[in-house]
Amino acid sequence: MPYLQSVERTKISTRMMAGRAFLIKTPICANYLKVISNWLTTGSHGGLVYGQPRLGKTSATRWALKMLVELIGNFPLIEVPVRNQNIASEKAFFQHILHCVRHRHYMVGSAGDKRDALNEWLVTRAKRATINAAVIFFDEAQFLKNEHYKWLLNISNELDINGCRLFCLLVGQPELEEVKTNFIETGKEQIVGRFMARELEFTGISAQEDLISALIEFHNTIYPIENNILFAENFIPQAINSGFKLNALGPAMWSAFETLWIASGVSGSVVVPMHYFTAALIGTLNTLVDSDGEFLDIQQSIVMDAVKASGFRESLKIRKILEMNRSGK
Amino acid sequence: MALLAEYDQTSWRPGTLRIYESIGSIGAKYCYLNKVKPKEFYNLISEFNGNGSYIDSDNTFDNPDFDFAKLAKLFEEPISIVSKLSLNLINDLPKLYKQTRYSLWGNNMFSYCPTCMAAGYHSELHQIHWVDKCFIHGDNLVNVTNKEKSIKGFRNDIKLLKPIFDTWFLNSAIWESAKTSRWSLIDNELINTQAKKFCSALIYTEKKLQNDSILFGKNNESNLLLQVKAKNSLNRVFKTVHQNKAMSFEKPLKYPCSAEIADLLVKIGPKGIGHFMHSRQITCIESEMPIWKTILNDLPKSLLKKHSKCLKLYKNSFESIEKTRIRWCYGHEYVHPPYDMSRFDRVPCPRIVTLNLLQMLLNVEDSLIPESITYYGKCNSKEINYSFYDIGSLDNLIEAGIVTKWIGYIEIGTHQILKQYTPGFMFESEVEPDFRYINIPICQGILTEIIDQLLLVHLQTWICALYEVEMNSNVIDSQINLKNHFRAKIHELSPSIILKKTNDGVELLIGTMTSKRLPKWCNSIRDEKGHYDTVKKRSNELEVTFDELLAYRMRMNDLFQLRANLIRSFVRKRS
Repeated sequence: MPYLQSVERTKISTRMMAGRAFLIKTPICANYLKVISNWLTTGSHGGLVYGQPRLGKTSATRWALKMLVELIGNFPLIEVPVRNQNIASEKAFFQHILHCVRHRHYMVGSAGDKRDALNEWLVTRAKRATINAAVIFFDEAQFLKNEHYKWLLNISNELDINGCRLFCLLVGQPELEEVKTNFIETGKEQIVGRFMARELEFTGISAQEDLISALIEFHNTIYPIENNILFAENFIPQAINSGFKLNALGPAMWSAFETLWIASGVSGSVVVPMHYFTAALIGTLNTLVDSDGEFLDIQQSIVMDAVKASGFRESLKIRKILEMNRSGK
Repeated sequence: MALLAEYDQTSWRPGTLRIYESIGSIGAKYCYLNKVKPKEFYNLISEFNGNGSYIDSDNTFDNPDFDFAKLAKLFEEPISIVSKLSLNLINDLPKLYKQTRYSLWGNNMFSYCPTCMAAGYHSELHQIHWVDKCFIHGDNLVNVTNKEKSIKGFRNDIKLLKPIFDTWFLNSAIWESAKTSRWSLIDNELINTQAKKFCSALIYTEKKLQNDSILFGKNNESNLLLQVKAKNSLNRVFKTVHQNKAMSFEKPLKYPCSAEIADLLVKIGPKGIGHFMHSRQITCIESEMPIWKTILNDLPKSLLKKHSKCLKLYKNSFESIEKTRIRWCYGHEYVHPPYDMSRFDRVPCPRIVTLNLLQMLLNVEDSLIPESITYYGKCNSKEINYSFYDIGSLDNLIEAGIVTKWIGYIEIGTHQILKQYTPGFMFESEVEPDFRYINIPICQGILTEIIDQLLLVHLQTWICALYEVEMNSNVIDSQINLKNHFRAKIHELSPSIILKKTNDGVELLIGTMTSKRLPKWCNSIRDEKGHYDTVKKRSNELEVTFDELLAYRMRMNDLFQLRANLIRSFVRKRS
């Protein structure tokens, strides 16, 4: 049985790190949701969301869009993980979007046929949506090329003709901001005006309170749902049943992230990407499995080791190098 | 199935599916919305078909294994609408099927209502072969040849996809909103109301049908109409859509008799009635002279009135040409004579062709019998001796005095006016004798009265069919096969008859497609001399054509012989 439990814990940990277990609300997510809701309800056709890697943009966007349905009603949504292509092909582009839609005939027809099929799919559903719009969430949108934007413009125009709206949520790395700047410089105002008028810089956890808030969300999550137990109960059931709460780890965890940040010499205030935070939490819980009991003794070193093992330190090193490169040193 | 689970998204406009919509109509819309070829739609449908254990139907949706719930989910349409794509409600009507051969088989054409098509709708109910008006609007259905081939593994109704697609999406004039993002469509409620009336007439008739009556007639559609009428379930909608709406219903003819005899009469069945109609024709003696016999005897005379000269001309022409053929064409390739009886336009006077067609109904071999008897194959006078074995209670019928045995000679071929003018006749020896010895049961008493009435009704139909064929200028100018056309006409006009038991005997309910008044053949010619001159001129032209053709064939034949001889001598020299 202990072996089985161990396997189960590994499964949960892996699913968590892959972002496929559950989505939690953080203060950043809450803000993100508010912003997207505002964009969608004020008639925008798109928005830019960019940020450093591993911040949890994709998961946050998924969470926000899921919550948005409850706020503003159902709407058609397509999540498109953008592929980097050397040569942009209209046929491949629309085929990929149809594939993401799970359209039965995504492989069939010419570029025009695929565009028309996508249009039909979007229009039919957008018309029935409360916001009269369809949302396409482009993940890693920095890979989109000029042509892609033109084709999106065509789709958007056709939806306009049919009395509905296409909203393109472009989520990606900070290079996205550069793409926008380039468009402005080369006079492609139509694309910027349509899809990039709104923007949001996504950040990680930047205060101890935010970290504690995220820990509270983790603590309150029931996972796996079929087992009807708290997420942390999979690791430290006795402690949880005795009243231990994950937010108790907050100060120690923040202190560990802060220590590593200062030690790395990276400029600015501390920002903890969600990925490393989640990894550190999973690491800590896995370490505490053996010492699970009514009274859990959590030493700072356990948390520090987990934070170090999360890969945060290595990411800071890369960040430092990039900073130095930018400043020309 | 796995594919559907994985890629379960398609383009469809929820709320646009209509009840009883044909698969062709749905497929055309599907292909347009998804920008795919029909093949993709066929693949989709094959996933819903299940084991495909069809009942006797031409409709894909009548498959009991068809997964309507899955289709409803895919199209986001209410299951209440999707489940009404099937005609199952009126498909399984066993009594009606047994008695009238009622069926929902579609015709091979693409039949549509222009008003429905303009509103983006085509129904399987438009395709039913006996329906010629729209069940919703009452408009005449347009029939277009459907050149599409059958698709293996699918019912024939799927062949409609392409013609419907072409009508709607390659031609914007038919359904104006076809290519817009919002389709204007016919109201589901309207379809439902009209379809309900149509179906209820059939269901009501099915419920009322009993086994104490027999129905016979060559035309299943007429049989259906009469059956519906007999059960007083002929509502306006059914009457409108049915192609045999011109059927006139006479007052039932009553034949009083005891309950036992009535039982026996009804039990004879269509096949037995057919046999007695047959035997009555060949054994009816001159002294009896029922009305049908008088009409039949007078018919050749009526037809020849004002046309005896035409016949004489034809006779002379035929004989001279036959002599030429015998003298010159012996051993040569067969040359068709100038008069071609299978086509009006190859005979100078249409009446000669009518006389030729008349032989079809005067021959004992092809007499006025219902189709049921021909299950044995072509019923000829040799077989008639044996065909009575199948009549079940023959002894009871004889005992009741309505049937008796008849032994003697029958004369055949007495009315075959043109038989001797058939190409090749002069060469033939006596193929068949003029008399035959037969031993058969024949009707008598009340059964004779009934049979005489049936023969009269059938004869009227045959004469009207003859008249309509001759008077139809479209047929005269065309090159269609007249015998087939005549047979089709007889089938179309064939009466339907119900024989059923009543409290005091039996009654005959007859539904006829023709007028009771026989056509006046003489009226067709006003200027007798002018007509004869025209016939003579045309006859000469045909003879000239014949001579030229004959000369050409003979020359070609000689050249061929010459060439063959040359080759033979060349080969001989080489060797």
